[in-house]
Amino acid sequence: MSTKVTVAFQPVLDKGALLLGGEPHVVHCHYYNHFLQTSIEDAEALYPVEEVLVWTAQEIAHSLFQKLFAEEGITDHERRKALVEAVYTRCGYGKVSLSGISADGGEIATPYEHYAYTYAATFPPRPKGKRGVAYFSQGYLAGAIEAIYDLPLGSMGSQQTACLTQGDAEVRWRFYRLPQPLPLTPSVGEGASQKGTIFQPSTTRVPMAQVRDAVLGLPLLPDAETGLIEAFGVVLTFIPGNYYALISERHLQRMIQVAGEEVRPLVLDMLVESGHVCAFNTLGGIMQSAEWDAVVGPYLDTPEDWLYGITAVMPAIGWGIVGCIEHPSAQKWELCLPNWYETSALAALPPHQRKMEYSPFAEGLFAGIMALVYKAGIHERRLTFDGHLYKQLFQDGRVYKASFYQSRLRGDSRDALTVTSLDA
Amino acid sequence: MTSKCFVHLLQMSTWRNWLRSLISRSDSDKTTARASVPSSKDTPASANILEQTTVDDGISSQEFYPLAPIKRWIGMHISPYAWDRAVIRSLSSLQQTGIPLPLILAPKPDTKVSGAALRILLNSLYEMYGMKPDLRHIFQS
Repeated sequence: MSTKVTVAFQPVLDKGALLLGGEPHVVHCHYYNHFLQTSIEDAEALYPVEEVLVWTAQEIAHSLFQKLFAEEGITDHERRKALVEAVYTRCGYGKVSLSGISADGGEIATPYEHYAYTYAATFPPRPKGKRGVAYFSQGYLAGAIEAIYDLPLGSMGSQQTACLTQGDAEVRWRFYRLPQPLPLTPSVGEGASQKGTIFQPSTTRVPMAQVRDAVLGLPLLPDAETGLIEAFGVVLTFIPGNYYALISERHLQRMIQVAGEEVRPLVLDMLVESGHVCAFNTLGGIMQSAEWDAVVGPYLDTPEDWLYGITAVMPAIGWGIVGCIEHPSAQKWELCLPNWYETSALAALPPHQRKMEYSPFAEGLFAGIMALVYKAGIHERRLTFDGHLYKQLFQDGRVYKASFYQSRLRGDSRDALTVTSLDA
Repeated sequence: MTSKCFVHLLQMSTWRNWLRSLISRSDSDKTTARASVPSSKDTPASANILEQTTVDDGISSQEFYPLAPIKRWIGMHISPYAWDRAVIRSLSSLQQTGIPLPLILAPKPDTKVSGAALRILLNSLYEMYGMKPDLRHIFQS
C-alpha cells in the first residue's frame, strides 16, 4: 500500500483565500506567531491559556481532517495518518510521525516543530520549568487523531512533555482518551466569507492580478529535512486563519471575564502591535526579496506603488482582497478589505459570542506598511530590520495609526479603515 | 539539529534578536543591562524570584512609589511593551490595590502604589526580562 500523499492548497481567487480541507489558510512568519502567542501566554496567571491556544487548534484540525478525509475518500487509518503527516509538513509546522498513535492515544516526538524550533533558535532561553511553546501543534495533532479514528471532537486529551525551549532534544506530546469530552465547537470553516475582485487602480502601473498570480506560483515549500519553510528572511507557516482570529477573540473574552471591560485596550494594543511585528518582518522581508524585485520591481515608480504592490500580495497568502479606496499619500491611506480572514472568521459567530469589533491586527499591519514606506523609505534604500529601526517606526517615532470606520463585526456590510499620519 | 535551516536561524538571531525584549529574558542580558539584578547569577528566572528580589530590592513595603517615572524607565531601557506585559502578568494582584487599571497603564505624575504592589509588578518584569529598574537611579535622576 502506497502512503505517498500530495497536498495542495486550493486558491480561491475571488475571495483571496487558500483552502485546504475547507479551512482558509494564511501565511505568517515565526516572529508574528511568537509575538501573538506570547501576548496570550502572558495571561497564564489569569486564566488557563491552554484552553485558548490548544483547544482552538484542536477544533480546527478536527474539522479540517474530517473534511479532507471525506474529500479524498480515505477511510483506512494508516492512509489517514500519512495524510496528516503530509499536511503537517506541507504547512510548515515541521515533521511528525503518527506511527505510535492508536485510538487510545500515544506519543509523538519530533526535533522539528515550527514554534519550538524557531523559538529555540531565535530567542533567549525560556525560564526553566515553563511548559513548552508547541501549543498549536499539540491541539492540531489531538484534533487530527480524533478525526483519524472518527472520535468525537474533544475526546482526546493532550500534554506537551518535552520542548527544545527547555533544553530537550525534541518536542514531545502525549495524547490520551478523556472520559468526558472537552467543551469544543467545530470550526467555522470559511465563515462569513465574501467575494470580491482584485483591485486595479488607474493610478499605478503595478499589475495587481499579475503580482498575485506570481506570488501564488512561488514555491513556498518546506525543507525536506526539517519540514520548515524558510523564505524572505523568516520562517513561514500556513496556519488556518480561523486559529489566529479565534485565539485573539477568545483571549479578549477571557481577559474581559476576569478583569472587566477596562482591560480591553490593553489586549487590543498588543494585537495592534502584532500587526506592526508582521508588517516589519514578513512584509518588510517580502518587499526586499529577490522575488519582489523580479515581479513587482519593474512597476515601482512611486512610493505609492509599493503600497499597491504589497496589497496585491495579500490575496495570494490567504489574507483576503485588499482595495485602495483612494490614491494613497504619505498622510492618508484608505482601504477596504473584502473577505479579510479575521473578520470572516469572527463574523460567523453570533454577535453575543464575540467581543472583537474590528481587526486590531489589520490596524497595526497597514499602519506598519505606511511606516515602512514613508518613514523608513523602503522604496529608496535597503533596510536592516533591527531593533533600532523597529523603535524608530513603531515606538518613539511612531507616526501612523489606523482605525476601522466600517466593520462587519459592528454590523456594517464591509470592512474599511483609514491609516493616517499622526504628524498631519 | 545541524541542518542548514538551523544554521540560518542562528544567523538570523544575531541581527534580529532585538525581539528578545518582546519575548523573554536571557541570562546573558544581565551582563549588559543597565539594571539592578540579583547577585545570585544564572538562576533560572521562575524558580527563585520572590526569594531573590525580596532580599534587597530597595523597596520598602511601607512606602508609596510614583509609577510614571518607573514606567518611563522601563519603556526606554527594556521595551515599550514591557510595562503592559508586566501589568497583565500581575493583574490579579494589582487589582487588589484599588487603583483603576487605566491609571496603572498610563500613570499620572501623582499616581502612586505601595511598595508591596510595586514589588509584584517588578517581579513579573524580572521573570520576563531578567532585569528591573534600579529605583535609586530613577528617583535620583
